[in-house]
Amino acid sequence: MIGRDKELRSWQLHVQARFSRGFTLDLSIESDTRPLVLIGPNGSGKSTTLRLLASALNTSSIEMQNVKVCFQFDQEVLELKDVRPHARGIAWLPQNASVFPHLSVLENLRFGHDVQHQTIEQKVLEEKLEELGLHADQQGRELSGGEARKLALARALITPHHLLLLDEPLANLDPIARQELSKMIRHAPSAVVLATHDIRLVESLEMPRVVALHRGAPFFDGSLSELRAASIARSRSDAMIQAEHQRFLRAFVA
Amino acid sequence: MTRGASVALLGIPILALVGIPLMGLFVSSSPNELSDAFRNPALFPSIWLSLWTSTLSALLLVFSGTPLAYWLARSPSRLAWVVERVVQIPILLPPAVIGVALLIAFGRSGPLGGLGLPFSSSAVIVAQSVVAAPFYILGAKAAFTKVEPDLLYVAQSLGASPQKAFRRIGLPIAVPGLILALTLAWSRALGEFGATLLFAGNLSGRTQTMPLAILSAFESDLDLAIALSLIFVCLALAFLVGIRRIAE
Repeated sequence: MIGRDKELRSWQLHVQARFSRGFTLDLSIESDTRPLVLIGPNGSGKSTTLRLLASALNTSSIEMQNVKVCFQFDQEVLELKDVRPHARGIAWLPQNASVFPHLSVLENLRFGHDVQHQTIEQKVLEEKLEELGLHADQQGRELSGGEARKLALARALITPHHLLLLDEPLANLDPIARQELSKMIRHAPSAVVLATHDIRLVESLEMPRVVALHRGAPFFDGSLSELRAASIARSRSDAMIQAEHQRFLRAFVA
Repeated sequence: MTRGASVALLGIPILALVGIPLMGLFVSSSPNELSDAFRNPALFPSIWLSLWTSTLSALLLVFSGTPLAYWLARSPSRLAWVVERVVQIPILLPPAVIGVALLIAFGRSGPLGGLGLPFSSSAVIVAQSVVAAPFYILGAKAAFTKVEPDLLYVAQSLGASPQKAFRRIGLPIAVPGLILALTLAWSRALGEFGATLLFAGNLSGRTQTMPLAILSAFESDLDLAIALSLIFVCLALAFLVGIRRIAE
């Protein structure tokens, strides 16, 4: 992994992409390492943005892409273009459970360390297992939906990385699991980018910055309270172009 | 009677069609004929030839067919579509047609005539491989298709190179399906008859596999053919059970 012993200070993302289904994405984000939320309705491009960041897209569906990701460590700025995807330190969790079904809970947890030839202390693993309340030898395929999500998140968190991408991490979970996962996300040691369509999640996680997307383009960037204010201010505006955003904002903030 | 059991009754005709002839083999062969069959000089060479040629065919399919199947499962290209249709063709053709086609390709005046393949043990392997290929490749493709691409991306996002992600995630998840496909293909190679007869001939010790030995026996001595068939059935059963064991 690049910059293994360095601390990420900030990151930048510039994306322009056109997909064969006619969808276009045009987005620039610069951020320090505080958590950031991409919010928007289904089909607004949140998941696709995370997938582009994680190189988790089948390239045959992309007609044109211009993706630039930069990491800034202390003084040095690094463009990730020439860094192979698995060496970038961008951990990604898709919407559906991503536990490896044929590996045990323990093997899942230490997967990142194993493939990066890193050692991890037995004690750390044991503590994590206890925290998760899972048995080390249980197979990934035997876990419930909530258990699998917790394990996948814990696995990403203990694996060395700079940026953690979470796609709807709390969707379809019971309240207890939501609470446990929220706690893990709040205490994440790395920069988190979270995609969701659920504004309550932004509130409960106290995420400081929200970028709202609509049809592949950002139309709002600020804090949650500013998002609320914007939805009121815009509701007084007559501009046609904002009508759709307005409806969308109202629906979310209401 | 539960609904499941009454639905299962519909299966009786096909079960009878498969089961009764097999039982007939057991009933109609006497111990005397069996011991005659075991003394038949063609028996052990043909069993041995069947075993090693089908094993080599299976190995060839695993080494060359597995990467091809993986590509077919992953590539959305037009070329992959065409290749898959080509791979499917041997299932549709009578094995005799495959035998004739192989003779044309590998015969003395054919494009691959220089290899001197026809009527050799290698020809047996080629015939078996061609006939069994679709069973392995299409089965393996189905096994790879079931591996969620997202799991491989997740593995990469945790630091695994694409090769490592395949070795540690994609391949192990597909293995049960690959073994099933291999069992089918191997069984098909073991029972191969038509293409082998035309392309490799029926030469005792060189190209006479078990199915061909049964044909030869059938032409002269029906009782011997029955006894050989019975031995083949037992071998096939042992083989199936053995593969299951290894797979588990």
